[in-house]
Amino acid sequence: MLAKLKQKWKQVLIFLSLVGPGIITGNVDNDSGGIATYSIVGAHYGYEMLWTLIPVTVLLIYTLNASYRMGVATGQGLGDLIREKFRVKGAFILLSLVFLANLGTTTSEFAGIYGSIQIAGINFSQDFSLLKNKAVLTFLTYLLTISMAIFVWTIVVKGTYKMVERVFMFSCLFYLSYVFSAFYAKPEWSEVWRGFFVPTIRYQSAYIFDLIGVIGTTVTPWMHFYMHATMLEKGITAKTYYISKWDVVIGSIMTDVVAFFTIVACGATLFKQNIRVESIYDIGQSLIPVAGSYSSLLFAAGLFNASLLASAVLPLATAYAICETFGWEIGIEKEFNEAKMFYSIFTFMIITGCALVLIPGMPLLLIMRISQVANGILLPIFLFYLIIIASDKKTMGEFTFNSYEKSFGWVSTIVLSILSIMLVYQGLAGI
Amino acid sequence: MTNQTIAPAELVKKSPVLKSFNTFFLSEVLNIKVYDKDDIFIGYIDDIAIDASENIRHPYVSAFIVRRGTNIRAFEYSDFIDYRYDYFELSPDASGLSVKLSQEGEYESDIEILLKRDVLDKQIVDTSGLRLVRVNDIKLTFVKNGIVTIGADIGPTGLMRRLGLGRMYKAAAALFNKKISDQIISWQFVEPIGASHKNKIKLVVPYAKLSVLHPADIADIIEELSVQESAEILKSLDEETAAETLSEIEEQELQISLIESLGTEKAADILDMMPPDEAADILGDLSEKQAEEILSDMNSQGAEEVRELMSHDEDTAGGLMTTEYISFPETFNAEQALAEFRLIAPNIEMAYYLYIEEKGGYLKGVVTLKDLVVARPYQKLTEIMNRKVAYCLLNERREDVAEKIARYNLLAIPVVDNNDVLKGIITFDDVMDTIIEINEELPHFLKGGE
Repeated sequence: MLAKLKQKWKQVLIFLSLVGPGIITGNVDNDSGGIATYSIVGAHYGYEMLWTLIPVTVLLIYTLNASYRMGVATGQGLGDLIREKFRVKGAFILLSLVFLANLGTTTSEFAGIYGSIQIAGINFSQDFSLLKNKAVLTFLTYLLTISMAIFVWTIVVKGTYKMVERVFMFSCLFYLSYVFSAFYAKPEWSEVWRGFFVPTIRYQSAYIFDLIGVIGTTVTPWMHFYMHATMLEKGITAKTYYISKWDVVIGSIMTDVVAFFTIVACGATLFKQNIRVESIYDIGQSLIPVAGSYSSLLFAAGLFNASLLASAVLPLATAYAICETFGWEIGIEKEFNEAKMFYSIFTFMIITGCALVLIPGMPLLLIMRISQVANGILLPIFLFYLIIIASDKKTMGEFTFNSYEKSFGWVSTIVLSILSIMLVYQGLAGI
Repeated sequence: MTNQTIAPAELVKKSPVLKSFNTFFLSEVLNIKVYDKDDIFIGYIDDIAIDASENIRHPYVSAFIVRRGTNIRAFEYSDFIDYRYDYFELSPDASGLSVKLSQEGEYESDIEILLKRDVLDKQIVDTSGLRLVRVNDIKLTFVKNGIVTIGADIGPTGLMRRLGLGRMYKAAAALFNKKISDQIISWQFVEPIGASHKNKIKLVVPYAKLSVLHPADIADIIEELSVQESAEILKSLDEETAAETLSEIEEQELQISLIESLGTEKAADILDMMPPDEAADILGDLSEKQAEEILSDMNSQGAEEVRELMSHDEDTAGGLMTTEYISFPETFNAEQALAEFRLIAPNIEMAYYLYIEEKGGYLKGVVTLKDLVVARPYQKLTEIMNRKVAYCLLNERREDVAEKIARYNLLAIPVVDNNDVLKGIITFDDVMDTIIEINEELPHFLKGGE
């Protein structure tokens, strides 16, 4: 009995030490694009789209698990595997698409940073009369956004990123505010559960757009590259896989629990009060039940935090993936001259992302949403690569996909492709 | 797939014969069509196998794997009569090799490495696990009786070639006046780890250990690598080895660009260790400013000698000579000379001729090492020396120097100025090329490679 307990305890300890590429990734996944997309879905459709979270969670667990198994089976990075299986041309096609999608997402993170600074500025303008001057406010927002870009660049280049990551991880507690807000808003829980368990599909391009957005913001190619690299760093092997696979499950569920409560909170507030979300500022009102007049500040803080973390992770993961695939020197600890491509890609993404957002009159909210949809359209292509590799016996050995897993993957790929084609076919009209 | 038959006769005009191109890349021959003698389509080149069992630096291609659907066959070099850019043709008596298939129906062999399956696109790590590069392509070359692997292409040109943009890339580079060259890691340094572990390829020698090899070997490799990489290798060697390696490099252009990329200080250290005539040759091709910078960093005595040598035209005796020779004053006896010889000879390249100088440095005679060793200890050098010395003047042309050396069968010839003062010597190998050119009667094998 005691021995059994001891063994259980040991397992818990091992689990804790391996926490958790999956959990970390799940957290980073709720970035500015995620918050924007989930909020819009709640504000526009109430609880109607909640059901999508179930298949999306299953898909997320499935794809992250596939990526996990590849790492365990081969000890190689995702870029390695793609290059070796699909050779130069195949890898080039995928990585170009991933690069573009990630550039879009990075831009959306900067949109999040810019937006949250703006909201905070408007808030403080009641106390500081100087901020009432629009020119001063805009100037300060620009200045702070650019400093954030420099800050992000510096922490990554100086290698202090890992340390910072841990700090950010704690602040994911901010998402709890959505949970509280959802409860305080006192939604009709029966409606919530109906929306969650009974699928509703509308054949409108706006609905499909948001549907793809939800899928795209939750299951992104970049998070696979990111988690894969993190798990290899942690040294997870076949021996500990039986425990660490739960890390993926927990991480995925956590992501979507946050998504669930964000949608519910927005559904119970914005949708109920018929507030049409036109800008990031409007979303902040969904937190009124929990924070009252401070709701927009609380929202700004959370958005800022999520965006800043992801704005470091995305360029880093992209540069890492591309350099790994094409055999260019990788390294934060290296000099610029030793890892030119790595630094160039990374720097280019931050500068471009930041610069695009600073163009006057940029529709920030739309950038956030479109970048997630772009990820959603890319997803079936990424899945195709993932399934081919995971089904390759020579590479995967005992971790190869069985026929059920393969069929699930292919069915998902086909469904996602049909959705993407429908969206493109109907045109982007009516958003 | 149907039985495609294309008359190769029509293609002949368009596609050049591959064999006439010395080198080619793996990516250029993969998926090339193979026809038999009756122009019947056999399949596509799927992979190239090399024999890894023999421990040679640049292994031979042992088989071309030809695939048609699930049907896999293997042919060796001599099975083909025609290698062309868009098809290979089998000879009438091509029998093919026996093929062993794995359970999955793939080609299998214990002793062979498949270039596409095991090497292409894999990662190369050096033994310390650092330096992540990827094999973008593999360079091979036709030799007399087969094809051998030269090395792994890890550069951007390889990547562009794989994307089908090789020509565009080169054209674009030319447009910006930028010279790009392939970055090849010599095959002798890459070691595909056995078939079970085919994720990574190891660089057998870490950069730090390259110095264990003979300088001539290192020079061979360096000639195939990018300048940057070569410079890195040179830097990792001790100065003496680096100097020897540098002088073993045959392409002068490469020598110069290496010196340029080494940086003044390191270049000066290495040139210090080189024979002055070679150092002068290299410095003579740099810009005056660069050469002066390096010279001022060298140790003063060496720099002085090099300066002196540089002041002469490269194609005259003065430009060809080295100031490293052995000379004794006429007052010495054999015993004294031998004692002195033991001290200085280790650092001198040409130590067979010992010159006798009068006061003031005038050349008086010559003693060979043999003369000195067989002489009795108390004998004066002037007693045993040969007074009739063949010599040349500082401004004598290269051809004349070569002719003298050849005529008198010398290993080296002394160089004097107009006042008969000994200035240096020219060794046989410094003018060997010229000797071969002018001496038509030399046996064929001495006339250099093809």
